Amino acid sequence: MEVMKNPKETARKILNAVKTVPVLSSSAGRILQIIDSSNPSIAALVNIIRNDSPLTANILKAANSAFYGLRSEVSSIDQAVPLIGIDEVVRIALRSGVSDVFEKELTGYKGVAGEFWKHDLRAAIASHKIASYGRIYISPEIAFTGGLLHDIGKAIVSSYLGDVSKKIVEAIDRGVVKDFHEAEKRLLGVDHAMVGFEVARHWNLPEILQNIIRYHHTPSEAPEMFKPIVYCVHLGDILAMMAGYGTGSDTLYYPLDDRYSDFIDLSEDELHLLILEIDEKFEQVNY
Amino acid sequence: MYEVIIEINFCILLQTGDPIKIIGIGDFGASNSTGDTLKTFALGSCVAVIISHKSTGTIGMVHVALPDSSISRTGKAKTKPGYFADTGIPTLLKHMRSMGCVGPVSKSQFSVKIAGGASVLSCSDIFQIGRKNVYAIKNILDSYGLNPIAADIGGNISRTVSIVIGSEKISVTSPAREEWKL
Repeated sequence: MEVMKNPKETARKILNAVKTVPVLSSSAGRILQIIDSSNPSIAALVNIIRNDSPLTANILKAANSAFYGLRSEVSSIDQAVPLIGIDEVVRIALRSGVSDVFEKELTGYKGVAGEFWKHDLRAAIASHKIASYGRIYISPEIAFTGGLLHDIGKAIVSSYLGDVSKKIVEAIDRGVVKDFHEAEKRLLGVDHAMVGFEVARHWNLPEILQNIIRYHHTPSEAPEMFKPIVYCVHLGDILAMMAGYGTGSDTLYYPLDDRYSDFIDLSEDELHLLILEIDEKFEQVNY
Repeated sequence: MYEVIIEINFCILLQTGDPIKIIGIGDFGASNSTGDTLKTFALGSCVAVIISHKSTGTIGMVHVALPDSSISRTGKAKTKPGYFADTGIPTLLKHMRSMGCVGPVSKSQFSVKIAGGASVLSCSDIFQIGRKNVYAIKNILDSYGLNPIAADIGGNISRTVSIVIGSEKISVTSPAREEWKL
């Protein structure tokens, strides 16, 4: 595989580019801090949302969508937030808060417009559902949020991959490099998980989300206290790709760490049922 | 004549007139109108089963996601039979018969190709869903006396599959790869 002339220099440029990523909206940042608390409060979310007019409008729009099938209009944010739930608030806040990032076409990965968000949403739904199979408690709301954000580094790395995706795929097929994660590190001197971690720090995200993003392809390297949720999102990412919701040429070219079973108790029948439930939920919320 | 069934939230929509018909996860469709295209996107562990009826030129496709419908507690096998190997193939064959593909199901009249069934890089047996889908599909086909005449299965790649009615070859594409034929 051809390696960039100076991966160290490329890595430096990529990590500098993190500083140019649009800041997370104030509301989205505060919502993520609340999700990280031990008992996320609907009242606290409502207080943040009511001071953000565009976010209020988007949440009311969701609450009044045909999906909820209400006979009377929801006109108050106090009614809307409990109705749509915490995951949906996070989804709307992140999509409207950093839409430039999620809507980006990942050309370096040969991705098409909209694919990035769909992959993240699919991984988020999967991670939320996998959380209920944790051997110890895993917060489904943080798992969902981690699923939405886990690949955020690709928004930057994509531009630096240029046109080498085809060569990476060929190199993996020939066994020259074992997976896409390793290929990114060899080519660019840094991988999308590490770049995503730097974005998470730039956004001042809670430590747990920073760790999910950083270790979602290498969960065994995560600090012990974060391993259950990191493995949870690791599986959510893999399940999204297995269902055909990837981000382009790298889809399915990442290893599943089988040590997930130390943290997630999942039988084969439960896995199949989970895939079915993820599909049904995705059809409901992907509008 | 053209007919494709796409099931969305318990409704069955019959769409006609569009020359490119997208078969989503768990959907199935068939056509005997030359020039129409059946297409399904991004098969990961899912498998596309493409069945051709020789004397009428009808081609059907089903996008199978899981091997066995018995795991569903929500009646998915009835609302979306294409989702499972054990209900998807019989449903597609029944649909093709309703379009005039009459006579006994046999190799002399029906030919089958399959694509998809990819795997993740893993040693975990329970995550080898692609392989299990292929195994279940071959078993169901065998119960009809059929077996795939061509297969592009396994590996770690996401496949998009399409076929134009009237042609024999299936197009397979994947990001960052050249198109190939099956």
